[in-house]
Amino acid sequence: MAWSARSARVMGYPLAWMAGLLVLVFALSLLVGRYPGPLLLSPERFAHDELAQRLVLNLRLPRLLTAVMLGMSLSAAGAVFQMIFGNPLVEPGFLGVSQGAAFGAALSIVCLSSAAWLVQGSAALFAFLGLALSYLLARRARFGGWVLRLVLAGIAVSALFSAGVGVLKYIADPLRQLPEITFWLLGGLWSITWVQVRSIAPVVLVGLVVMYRMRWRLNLLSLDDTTAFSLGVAPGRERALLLTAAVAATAAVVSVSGMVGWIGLIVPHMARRLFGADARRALPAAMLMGGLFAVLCDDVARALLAGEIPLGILTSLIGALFFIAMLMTRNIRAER
Amino acid sequence: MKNRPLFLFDQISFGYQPNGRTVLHALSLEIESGTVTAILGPNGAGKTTLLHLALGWLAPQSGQVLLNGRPLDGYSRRDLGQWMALVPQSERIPFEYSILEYVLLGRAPYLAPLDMPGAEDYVIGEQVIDQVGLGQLNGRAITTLSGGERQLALVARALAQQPRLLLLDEPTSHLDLANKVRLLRLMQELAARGVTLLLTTHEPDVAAAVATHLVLMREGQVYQAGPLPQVFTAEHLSATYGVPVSVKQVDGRRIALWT
Repeated sequence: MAWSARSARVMGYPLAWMAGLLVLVFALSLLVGRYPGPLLLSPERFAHDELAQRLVLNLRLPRLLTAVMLGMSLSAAGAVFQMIFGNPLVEPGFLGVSQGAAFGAALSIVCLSSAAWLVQGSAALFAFLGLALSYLLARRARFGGWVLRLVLAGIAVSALFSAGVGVLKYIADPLRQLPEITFWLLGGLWSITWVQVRSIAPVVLVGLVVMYRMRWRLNLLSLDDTTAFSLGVAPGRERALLLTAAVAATAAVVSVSGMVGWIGLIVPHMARRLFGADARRALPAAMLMGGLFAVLCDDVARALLAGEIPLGILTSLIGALFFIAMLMTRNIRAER
Repeated sequence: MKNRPLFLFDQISFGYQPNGRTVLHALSLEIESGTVTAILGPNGAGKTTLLHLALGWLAPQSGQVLLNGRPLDGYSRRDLGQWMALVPQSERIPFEYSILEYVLLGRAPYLAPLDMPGAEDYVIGEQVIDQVGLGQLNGRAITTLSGGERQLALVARALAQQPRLLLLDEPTSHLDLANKVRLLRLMQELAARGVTLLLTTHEPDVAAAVATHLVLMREGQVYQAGPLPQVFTAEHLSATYGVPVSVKQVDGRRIALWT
């Protein structure tokens, strides 16, 4: 609606506000947890308590950084997928990326080893494989338009991988391997240390920077191919570059967090509603809001109950509720 | 000596699949600079295909397309984007861009791959929006416009490319009478400023109103081509469409009537 464009102008510099909010929430979140008591750690206590300092610096800080990277990557990738496929209802979970990553992780746990680097590598590899398979299948399909073919191919590939995950769960050792697979599928950041942050940060940063730098091109790529071509764009090549950046960042974060759904679908929508459709604003807004959303969800996951709530359950719950609310207000447009 | 044509289709043949039906058969056509050429023909005659070949989006299976004496594939995409702009028949717009954001996309051929539109581009954007008569709607989301207004926004985006050659695919097909007249006036203005126009249309009267030259297509070939008065005749139009058509002069303009 015109509403979104107008509100974006009225709000002045909301992107800077959003960035400030993210920094603030991030800093406060360092104090949220279950030590020393439930919920907040007071700053004075932090200044004197050595255990508290180690806790914050070695556990909470890397975990929160990963949450920010997770939220930013999934949201940015979601925005990129939605714009490239000209369809506001896709996210990296479509096109076999998430299920591919899940299968890769489970495969590594059951058949190779549950060493972190192997699980991560295998998840990332199969995430790319999922995308490639969906793409090739869509190219070959003889039914429907391009977007429909992609979505159908993604559903088919996801189903194949999820059947594969089912088989792996069935044959997994119920005492050692099955719990690991289950926890990975539920998604969460409890096992994050600086090791994981260092291993995924380079890929995530490169992916985010590529997407950010190409944000105006994204507008062009959301147009029909013929039109994009007539504007001097190389649609195939630029789409491939952006998709690679999006999947690489997604695969990297998902490989350490497990399955965290719905962020990539919901956050770009919210960003467009608040900041307008132009990706010059919508993409950075989606990144900031995604980071914010993931940090807040992780705060709840860590602090609400004595035991940790899997992050993936929270994001799915909140995301699905948002989605239903948006469907009811008819603010999702899907042509073709 | 005759001027070099701006556009030259030299014996081009094209089919959509390697072994599929041939859409264009050894078609040759010249477009002179500064003319308004209307391509008229029945459905499936290959009009849109011809525009897409002119754009370089499709490549002919044989023959070649020359722009200003040079083959199309000798130009970079950005150069082509500065030379010519396309107004598609209709366009799927999946997101709620404002009119200005949408029109600014037309500046892409002038920007380096990672650049974004600057102050000058905004000036040009505002200017072409006024030129097509959407100035009062500026700030509205493009998805809230009527079909006719959307068509004008497509034209504005093409004008933001500041093209020397404007390709229009059925530009008036979604327009009511008022918007149609507005668009035809705009096309005449552009022609007066030296922009070469190449349009496809289903309506002989649209061709008669703006075109200086007429191309009649039939079954993938040029049936007749030349200055409008010589080609826009009852005999040629009847043969093109396969139904009896008569041509009348009203207020100095030709009108095609079916009988």
